[in-house]
Amino acid sequence: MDPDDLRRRIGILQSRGLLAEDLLDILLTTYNYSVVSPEAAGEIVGRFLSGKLDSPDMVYMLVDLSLKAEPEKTLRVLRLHGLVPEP
Amino acid sequence: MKYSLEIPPKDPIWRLQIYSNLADTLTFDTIWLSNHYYNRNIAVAATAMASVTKRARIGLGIMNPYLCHPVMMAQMAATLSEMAPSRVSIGIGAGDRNVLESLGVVQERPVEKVRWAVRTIREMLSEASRGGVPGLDFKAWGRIPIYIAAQGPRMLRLSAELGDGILINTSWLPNPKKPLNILRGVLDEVGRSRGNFLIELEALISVHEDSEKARKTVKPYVGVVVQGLSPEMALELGISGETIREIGALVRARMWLEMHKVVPDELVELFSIAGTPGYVRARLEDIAGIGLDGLVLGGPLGPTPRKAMILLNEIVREFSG
Repeated sequence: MDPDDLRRRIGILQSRGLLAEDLLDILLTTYNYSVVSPEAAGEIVGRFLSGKLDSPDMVYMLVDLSLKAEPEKTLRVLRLHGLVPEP
Repeated sequence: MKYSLEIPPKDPIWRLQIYSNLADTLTFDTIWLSNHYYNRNIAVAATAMASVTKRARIGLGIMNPYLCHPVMMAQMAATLSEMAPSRVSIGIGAGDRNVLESLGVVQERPVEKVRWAVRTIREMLSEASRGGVPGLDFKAWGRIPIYIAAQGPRMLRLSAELGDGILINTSWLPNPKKPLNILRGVLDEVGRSRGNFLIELEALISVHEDSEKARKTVKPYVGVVVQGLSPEMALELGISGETIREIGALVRARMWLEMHKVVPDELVELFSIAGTPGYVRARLEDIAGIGLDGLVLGGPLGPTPRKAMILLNEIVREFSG
């Protein structure tokens, strides 16, 4: 996955709000909770409270964290939203 | 009939904030914490939750006087009320005997201990406590109701005599009318109006389109309930001492994932409402009809708690209008 290409595609993704929710659910349920540092956690909560969880930079951050916590689940979600090709 | 949620602080604080903020924007009345020494501290968790909520009550529970002195409970609740005025409740119970034993604490005279704790909290929170006797140097914002969590008949009785409300233990889920009848009898006996006492039942919930996933998710929670059953209740429900001991050992070792293998489906059926949205809706509607004042939807809520909360909110709105 080319990070710059992924960023660009997230930026124009129609279903970015739903993608943000899917990624949030991965981070809310993973046993690898230490992937989300207290600083990142503060950022996620702040964006959630202000209704800006779906901003492109935030979604990119959620992708990054989710890939570290649950790579397979995250790839499935990214495929679902057409961000990575089917294997 | 009001519907509340239990959000156990087994998750990191940031997750609790997301869940409690969501619960606040939905229609749930109270967000109850659960209180286990191996999870996050409830005072800290409640503070974080209060900071992201505006409407829902925060339930500090279920605390027990063996691990937390009631003056500290009163202090905690009154302090929290400065962030959440008129939105704080206290839940108090006798704790889990097996867990207390594993910490070297003997659960002596539980009913008397809880009675003493409730009275102490009331004294600490009352105006009269100022001036010479132990009390807080500050006043709580709004009234802080005290719920007693009860399983056995003597604790049920105490709750009706002394509590502002009761949280009926989820172990009564197989027969929720029975504690209700006991409570009505005690209220009559002590001449207490039904209107001044809130009767709420806690039920373990897990909802998902895939019934198997829902049932699997709730198993560790069912295990905690089963190992805490009184011998009388276990006998009445035909649960063997061996099963309770096996599950109890896993709880003491905090081997939650092992519970998936050990807790049988029959116990999931008895002590939880776990399944598809249609199944959960039908079970909740049945319970809503028996005359409770409230239902606390507890446990995991579902394999994906955020989605489950939204779904449960829709379900209870559908049949409660």
